[in-house]
This record gives sequence, structure tokens and C-alpha cells, in this order.
Amino acid sequence: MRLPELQRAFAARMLTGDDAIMALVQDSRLERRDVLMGVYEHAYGARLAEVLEGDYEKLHAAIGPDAFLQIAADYVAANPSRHPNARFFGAGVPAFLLQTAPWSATPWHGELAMLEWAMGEVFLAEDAAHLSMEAMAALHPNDWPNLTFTLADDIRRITTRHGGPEAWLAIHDDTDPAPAAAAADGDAQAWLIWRDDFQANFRAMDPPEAWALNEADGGATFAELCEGLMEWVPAEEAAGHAAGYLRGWIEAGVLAGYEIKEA
Amino acid sequence: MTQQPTQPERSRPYLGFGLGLRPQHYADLLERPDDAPDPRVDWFEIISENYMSAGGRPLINLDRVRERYPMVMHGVSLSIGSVDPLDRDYLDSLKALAERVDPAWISDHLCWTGVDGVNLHDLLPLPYTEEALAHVVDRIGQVQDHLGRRIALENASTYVTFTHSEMSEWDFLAEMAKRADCDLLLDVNNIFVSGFNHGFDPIDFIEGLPAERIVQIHLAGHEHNETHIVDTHDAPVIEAVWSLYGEAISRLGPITTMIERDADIPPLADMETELDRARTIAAKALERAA
Repeated sequence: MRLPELQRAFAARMLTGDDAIMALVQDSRLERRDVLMGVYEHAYGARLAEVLEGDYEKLHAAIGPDAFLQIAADYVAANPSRHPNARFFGAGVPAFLLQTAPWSATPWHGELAMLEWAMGEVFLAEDAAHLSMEAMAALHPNDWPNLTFTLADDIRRITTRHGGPEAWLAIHDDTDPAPAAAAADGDAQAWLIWRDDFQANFRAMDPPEAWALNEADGGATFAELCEGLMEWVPAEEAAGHAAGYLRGWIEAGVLAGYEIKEA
Repeated sequence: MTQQPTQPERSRPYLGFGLGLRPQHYADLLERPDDAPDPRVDWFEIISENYMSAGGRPLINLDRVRERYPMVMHGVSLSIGSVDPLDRDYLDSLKALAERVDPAWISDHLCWTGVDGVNLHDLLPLPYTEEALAHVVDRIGQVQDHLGRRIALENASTYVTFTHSEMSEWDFLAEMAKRADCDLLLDVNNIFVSGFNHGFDPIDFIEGLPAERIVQIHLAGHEHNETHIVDTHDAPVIEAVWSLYGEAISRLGPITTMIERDADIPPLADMETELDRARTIAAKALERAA
């Protein structure tokens, strides 16, 4: 058998248990070939399960090792890895959990995984420059209304409806995550994930902040943010609110920079 | 700390005795009290893929360790034996990391890790055939051209023998190194594991390789299942592998050596003690050979 066919047959054994490769391998002096091939078959699932366990520590803690191994086995079977770096293998786990029974019936599990993946991405994101308060202080007051902002690459935003992040916090505090998730089940909740001293953090955003950050990401000017915030606060307080959000974002490294839009 | 070798015949520098860099040891390496003695580690090997992120703390820690220690890069995803095209994005990432780290050398394994775009994330065995040899030699050339430097390839632990292999693993490695003009990383534990699994004499393996191309030695622990041994890197080096290491050094001369530990990782102090064992055995082996 030529090398391409050999590798395909070997991979088929590992992925589906296909027998074709067995004609090409020998029993050893002490062991049958199927047992020896089994070393590779076992290692494949075990290695990827270990990778997933590293990515989803809180999910693992929430459901226990047996259920986690079952998820890993099902996910591995449904999603062959296509990247040379195993670090990317688990990207599809949140969607897998949200779409696959029985986990789809408890969507906080999928949301918990969504948060953990986002935190992992933030942890390893590029070390980019962030907008500083000093840079803002140097602006002329007339420029403020026309400011637009660029969000930093090392942040993520997610929206949950079933208490996944609340479950994360419960696990972190060594309490039962299911009631915490159930208590938060219902309305949409926006979350900001950012990096501080190289650690990934997250916090809830109230609806006006989530709206403002989303609009800022879409190119809205500071004046447009102030105007939009009047939906939630009196007109005379809108600019102060917008400035408060802006300060919080800058201090957390949420913004990469600004531009002054031509009037 | 480390006695300089007396046979500097290899093209690569002799680094002494090192460890695989593991996050569990960052604090011991980077946050030592000022009056604490330096760790008894001469250099570190990194798993290349673990530092192929865009940024974040892993790269900061990497830079800080690199400021203090010589380093080599060891990959697990080159897939030099696969029939899939070489992954240019991976090679670009490897090259970029090498520019950051400036390693003494870059290594990976003689194996394949996937086919048809599916990555199996394991060091899978090749048949030792002329076809596979020509394929691997051609790809090593491509990789070395891309990286602008010679690479070293390691003998992997294997569990199956292909019926149509035409030569021994060491003949394959020797011919590969000669034709591709690459270096070799000798994993002494893997020789022991594969020797048991396939019934060959590890000494034949060591004596069959071109000594001048061996730039580094790996040592590790394994799991013995009576009928076969699995390379697990989760336990101390066993006595028989220490003995084989001494045999290797006495035949090959001083070679940069490290201990690989990837699971159940003990405190740095324990790894230093195990590394001291390597120093002692290597010194005695060189005395014997003198």
C-alpha cells in the first residue's frame, strides 16, 4: 500500500474503527495488532478530551468528569480537528452544547462554555496598544462630539439568556451553579470580557452601556452616543453618562484608539 | 555549572542539561527570592505550539525565561511525514516564534499527525520504506528552506510495525539525516519503548545513527503494560532508560540533554534532582569512554 492510502486507512481506524489498516500492521512478539493500534485510538480521544478540559475548567467542574468525558467523546466524534494547533479544537463546544441533546435542554451549560472560550481568547489575544486617559486629556473640547472609537482586539462581548456567567461565578465561589443559572434565566444580559494584568475578567453591562459599546464599535460619534443614551437617562445627564462609560472602558483597556470624524 | 564538552564536533552548541519549560515552574523560575540559588537547569526547551498565540501572559513569561536561559524550540505539529501539503501558516508561525526566541535549534518528530485536513494530534508512525524516506526528505528540504535553518527530527515512540517496512528505524533516520542534511534529536526513552514494543536492541539503534548529527537527547518516563510500553511522560525516568542513556553518552560523547515531563509535573526542585542524575550518569559515561 502506498503512503497516502496507508495514512487514510490509519486515520480511518482512529476516527471510525475501520479495519483496513489491520492488514498492514503486525502482531508484536507479545501483543496482538488490534491492541497495539488501540494505543493510538485511545490516545486520540484522550488527548483531545484533555485539551477540552483545559479550555472548559468550569464546565468540567459543573458537570463532573464522567459527563464531561461523554461530551468530549461526542464532540470529538462530530468535529474532527482541522487545525495543527489543538488549542483551536474546542471553539465549537459552546454551539455544540446549545444545539445537542441533552445539553440543549440546559442552555446555561452552553453559555458557560461560551464565556470560558471568550475568556481563553482574551487571555491569548495580541498585546495591542490601548487608548489612554492622557491621550483623551489632550483633546480639544471642540473635538469631543465628533470622536469615534476603535475597540481593542483583546476584549470580547457575549450576550446570555440562561445564566451561564452566573453559573461561572457560582462555581468560582464553590456553590451550586444550577440554581444560580436558574435565577438568571430569562432576559438577555450583555457581558464584557477584558484583560487586566494578563488575566481575563468579565462583568455584566447594563443595557445602556451594552448599547453604547455596540454603537461605538459600529462607528457612532460621542455626540451620537450621548443622544442615544437619552433613551435611558434625562437629556442633561446623557453626556455625563457617556463620559462615565468612556472612562470605564479606557481604564479597562476596552478601547484601542479614537478618530475625529469630519463634521 | 556544567562542564564543557571535550568533543565539540557537532555543528550545534552544547547547552548542558535542561528541562521542558512548563507553566507550573514559572513562579519558581521568575519569582525567586534574590538570595535563592539559581535553579540547576542550564537551558529550557519549549513546546513551540504553546507559544503560537498572538499575545498574552504566555509570551511575556516566555520572554522573561528567555532573557535568562538558552532555549530550543520543539514542535509536535510539523507533520513532516504526512501526505497532506505542508501547512504554510504553521511554518510562518514557527518562523515568527523562532525570530522571537532565537533558539539554539528547532526540532519536531519523524511522524505524521493527520491526513486529508484532519489533524489527529498524535505522533503517528511511518512505514520505513524508500517511498516514505523520499517523501520525508523532500519535505524536510522545504521546511529548512522556509525557516532558513536546519531542523532536528526526533525518533518517536511507536506501537505498531508495518508489514511492508523495508529497513530499520535507525537506518531510515540515518539515511534521512544524510539526504536531507538535517539534525537528529535522540529520545533515549523512545528508543527503549520502541525497542521493547518491536523487539530490537536499543544499542543497535544508537550505534546505527550518525553521531555527529545528534544535537540533543530527550529523557522521559513511560507506562509499562507488560506486553507493550506507552510513552506517557508522566513519571520519572526508569533505571533501564538511565542505563541506556549512559550507554548512549559513552558511544556518542557529550550531548545536550533534557528531561521531558508533560503530566503529573513535580515541583521544579524535584526535576532539578532528576536532572542531577543525568549529569552524574553522563559524567561517568564520559569517564568510561575516555
